[in-house]
This record gives sequence, structure tokens and C-alpha cells, in this order.
Amino acid sequence: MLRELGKRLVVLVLTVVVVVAVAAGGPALVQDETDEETLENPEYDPDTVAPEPVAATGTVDADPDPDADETGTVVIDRGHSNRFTRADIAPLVDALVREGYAVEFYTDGDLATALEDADAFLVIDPGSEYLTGDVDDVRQFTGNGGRLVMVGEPDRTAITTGLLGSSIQTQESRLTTLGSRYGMSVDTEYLYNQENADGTFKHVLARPTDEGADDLDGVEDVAMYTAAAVTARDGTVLLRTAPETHKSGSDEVTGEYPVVVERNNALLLGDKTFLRSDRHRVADNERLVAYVAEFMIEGDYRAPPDEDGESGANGTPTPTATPTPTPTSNDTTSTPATGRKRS
Amino acid sequence: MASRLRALLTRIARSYVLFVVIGVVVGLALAPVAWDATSSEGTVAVVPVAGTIDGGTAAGVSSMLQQARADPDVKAVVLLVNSGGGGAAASEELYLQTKRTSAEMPVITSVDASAASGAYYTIAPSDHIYTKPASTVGSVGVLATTPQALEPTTIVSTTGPNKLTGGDEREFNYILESLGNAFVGAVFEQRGDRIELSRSEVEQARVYSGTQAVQNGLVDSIGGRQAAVEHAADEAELDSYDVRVMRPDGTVRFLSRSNYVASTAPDKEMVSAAYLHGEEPSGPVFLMVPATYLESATNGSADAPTADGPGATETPGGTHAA
Repeated sequence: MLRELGKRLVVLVLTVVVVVAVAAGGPALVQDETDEETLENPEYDPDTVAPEPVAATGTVDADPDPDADETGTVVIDRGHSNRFTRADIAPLVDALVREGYAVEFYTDGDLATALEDADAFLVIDPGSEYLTGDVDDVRQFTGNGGRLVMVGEPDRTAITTGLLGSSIQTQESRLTTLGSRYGMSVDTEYLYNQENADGTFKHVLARPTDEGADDLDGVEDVAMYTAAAVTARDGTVLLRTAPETHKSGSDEVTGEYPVVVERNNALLLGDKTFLRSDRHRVADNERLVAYVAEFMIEGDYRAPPDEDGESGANGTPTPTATPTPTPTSNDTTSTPATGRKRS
Repeated sequence: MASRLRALLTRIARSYVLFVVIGVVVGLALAPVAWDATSSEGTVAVVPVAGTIDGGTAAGVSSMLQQARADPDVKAVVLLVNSGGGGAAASEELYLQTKRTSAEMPVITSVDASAASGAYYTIAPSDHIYTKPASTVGSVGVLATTPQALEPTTIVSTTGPNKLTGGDEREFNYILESLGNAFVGAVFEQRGDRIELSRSEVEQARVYSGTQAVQNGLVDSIGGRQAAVEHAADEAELDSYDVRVMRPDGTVRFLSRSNYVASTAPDKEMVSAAYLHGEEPSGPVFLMVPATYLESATNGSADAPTADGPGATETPGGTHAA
């Protein structure tokens, strides 16, 4: 009886072993079919997806004309609600100071008096237009050898958050009256480029034109941050954006837009951010900063004889005040587009 | 009497009628099984991709797609999309899931109210995309709140200058750009042969209506769910098929009122943009959503929109510091 029971127990155990063995081995046989293939993702190749950053090295090294004065003064406009911070101008100020130039701010009062001892006048992103009298003062200044540098911006949207919530305001560079007297203007739309950019589409890259290459020696690319196109009638374009640049709002149209133009004693730039402490080393920005410093240093304002101040306001330069040996043209509006003249 | 009854029974027992009757009864009982076994050659699984794409949505849809791939009956998948996108990483997860499914069986998509940004990313690997004229698709791009410029102070000490922010605004834009490149690259990898737009036109991140999208090749044709199901069966060469509609678990959350209205999800709710990026921006959240969704959701929500300005105002893409 006991033997019979033993036999049955053995059969039971063997059955359990067989069942467990089948259960263990089964999935291995079945799984072969359900194994999913590894997925190839060529679209995520890091070399094509991650953009190569534009190098941010270099130092501002101004190399002004040897004939330029050893010392002088640059006046920076603070009297027209100008929007800039110390960080925006620090690299430029640093370059001027190292060349022996002092920097002063104009806040209010008679502009002509403020510019009396200056060699150059720098106007960055003004929030209010120049009145006719001020424009005349600046014209008189540049007509007698002073240099004018205007830095514009496209229309910018500024968000201010206060107790009553946030509001959106448009900031405009009010350079119309001053710029137009020099045949210059700043566009209101920002430039963007999806292929040639420093990281993102609004950080456009600009390149020297054939005429600009002389002044901007060694510059390949300049990175501009939300820049505006600028124009100068009969002026010289020093920098143009890379091909395939768009203006905001004109997504279908591309072009190579001028962002730095020069005409006689006036220089107009379409962006202020490239001057900033944390951007002035990107690409060859340091060379452009140096050029702006050189342009100002090479100015040499000679106040006209007493009671003759009005003549300069009409845009007639005094030939004797010419700082460079370039032939002068008494009628600035007839200056040929190709020739780059400073008078 | 008894003998007559016995004779009748004997006769019935000897005739075939009884057996035929029994046969019919048994046969009818088994018929449904047999009908099922032969009438359908396979199943078309309908997988809804609804609402804001976050980790939960991505996990739900991934699980449904995994089930579809694992089930030998499922021969094709229809993605029923009604979403304006969501988180970047979650959208990428869904893209990879759709791509994997598409490698194994036909995947046909039907767009409801919208398949924008991250949702378009999700459906890009489909073999065919149907939209309705009122659908919106596109918005191929990424947005994020730019980190504030901060410097380590005596209050917060760090071991490195970028520990607080991760990098400055310029470097941050390079990060964002690499996400955008991956997105655009994936769209062209999947649909480059059909898209009529140039790469930079796609990068401009416009939203298109269904009919415009057919013209520019972001989608294939106009049609509804039924067209998508039939197309899927056709691609899988199924003459007779079952349709299995899968259902997401839990609540489906919508940023956009139009998506919410179009949704057939049993449990749905509207949420504000803060659902994605939080009330107080505490760091960059990479989003694949049209910025208009973030604004309209904030303005349309019952909460006072004046106090929590960050929803709309912090929407990047509006302005840059530079």
C-alpha cells in the first residue's frame, strides 16, 4: 500500500518538474518573434543637430590714424531718453580711454556748448526725437570735422510688469530727424536669418562689403543681436548681413541688408547689443568696436570763427578742417555712391 | 397505446431528422465563434493622442502603441490626433513611438481640431495624414523662457559661474536651436519627399489650416476618421477587419478651447498655460506648443488673468533681451 502511494508521489513530482521546465523554456522560444528591432535615428545625429557656436574670443584693439590727436573727448548723448546701460558701452569706453580719450555725457542744456571741446558725438538708441536746434548744432559740429556715431535699433517690444499687471510697449529709436539730415535712416523691422546666425535667428551675422573691407581689416563675421537695416543716401555700406536674411514681417523676401553705413563724418549702426560687455568678443565684433572707436578718435572738431556758426548747419564743411587727405566735396549730396570720402 | 408510442420513438430515432435538428442546434451555438474566426482578417487599432502632451499623455499613448504592436491581430494603427503639443521631451518620446510603430505596420493619422507643434512631431512618421479643412497643423519649433541673468552672491554660493542659470542667454539660444534642429530634421526625415516648403520656411514655425497644409505637403489629404480607418485597412490589405478604439486612462487636459470642444474624450478639462510652465518660471521648460495656445489659455481661464501675468508675458518668442 505504501509502495503504491510512493509511486504516485514520484509521478506527481516528475509532472511538476516537467511543467516548470516547459514554462521556463517556453518564453525563450516564443520571445524571438516579439523582440523589437533597434530603431535607427539618423535625424538626431549630434553633428548635424547641435549647432557649432560662433567663437567669442578676441580683444578690442583700436588702431587709429597716426595723424589723429593723442587726446580728445567723446561726448555720449544722455539727453534724449537714450536707452543704454554702462554694460552696453563699456568695451567702447574702455577702448577710448586706452587711446587717451575722455568720455563725457550730454544730459541737457545747449548741445553746441557741450560739443565745443569734443571730437566725436555718440548717440545710442534715443527715445525722443532731436529738436531742430539740436540737429543744427550737430550739423555744425560734423561740418567742422567732428564725428557723429548713431546707433539705432529696430522697433522693440518691451514688457513692463507692475502692480496692475503687465503692459506691452513698443520702443522706437527716434533717430529720424537727426539721421535724415545726414541722408540716413534706420528701419523699424528687425532682421533675422535662419542659416547664418549666432545661435538663434535674430542673432544675425554680417560681413564686410568690398568698400568696408579696407576699414574692417580682418573681419569675417560680425554678430548683431536684433538689428535693424540702415541706409545712407550716397553713403558707403561697411557691413551687410549674410545672404538669406529676412526682415521681420517680410518672411518671403530675403536680402543682404546693410547694418553699418558711413557717410562723410557720420557713421550709423543698426544694433547696440554687439557693443555689450558679454557680446563684444563674439565673432569679430571686437574689430567693429575698435573701428567705431577709431572713427571717433579720428574726428577733429575745429570750432568755426565767431558768428559763423550758422554756415556749418547747412551741411557745408570747412575744407581746412579736413582731418584726412581725402579730397573733399563741398556738396555732400553729390558725393558718388562708390567713393568713400570723409570731409 | 404504449406500443404505439414506442413505435413512434423508434421511428424517430431511426430517421435522420433528429440528428439534423440536433446538428443545426449545435452548429448554431458554435456559429458565432466560427463567424468571428473567419470574417475578420485583422484589427485596426485607433489610438487617440488627445490633449496637452506631458509625461502622462506620452506614457498612455506609448502603452497603447506597444499593445498594438504586441497584439498579432492588430495589423494597422490609426492615430486620432487632437492636440496642440506640449512638453518637448514628451513629444519626442511620442515621435519615437510612432516611428517604431510605423516601421512595423501601417500608421495612418486623422487630425481633429489640431496637430500643432509637439503633436505634429508625434504624427510626422505616419504613412498618411488626413486633416479636416478646419484643422490646424504646423508650428514646427520650440519655445522656452530664457533664464534670468543671475550671479552667485553671498546668499547663494555655487561651485561654478553657470551653476545658477545653466549658461547665459546666448548659450541658451544654442541649446534651444539644437532642439529645434532635431525637430525640423525629424520632420524632413519623415516627410521630406512630400513637403513643398523649404527647411527655413518650416523653421519659421507657422500654423496652417488643413487645406493649406495639404497644399504645402505637411499633410497628405482632407478626410475624417472613417477615411483614415479605411485607408489603414487598405494599407494592411484587410478586406474585412475589426476596429478597436483604445481609450486613454484618466483626464485629458487641454490648453486650447477648440481642441477641448473637438475632443471626444469621456473625461476632459481645460487647463491654463501654467500647467506647462508653472506660475513662477523657475527655470527653462522646453515646450513644443504654439505660443498662441499659452496666451489664449491664460486669458480664457477662469482665474484672474491680470495677477498671473507670467503666463502671457513670459512667453518667449515675443521678445528677446538682445
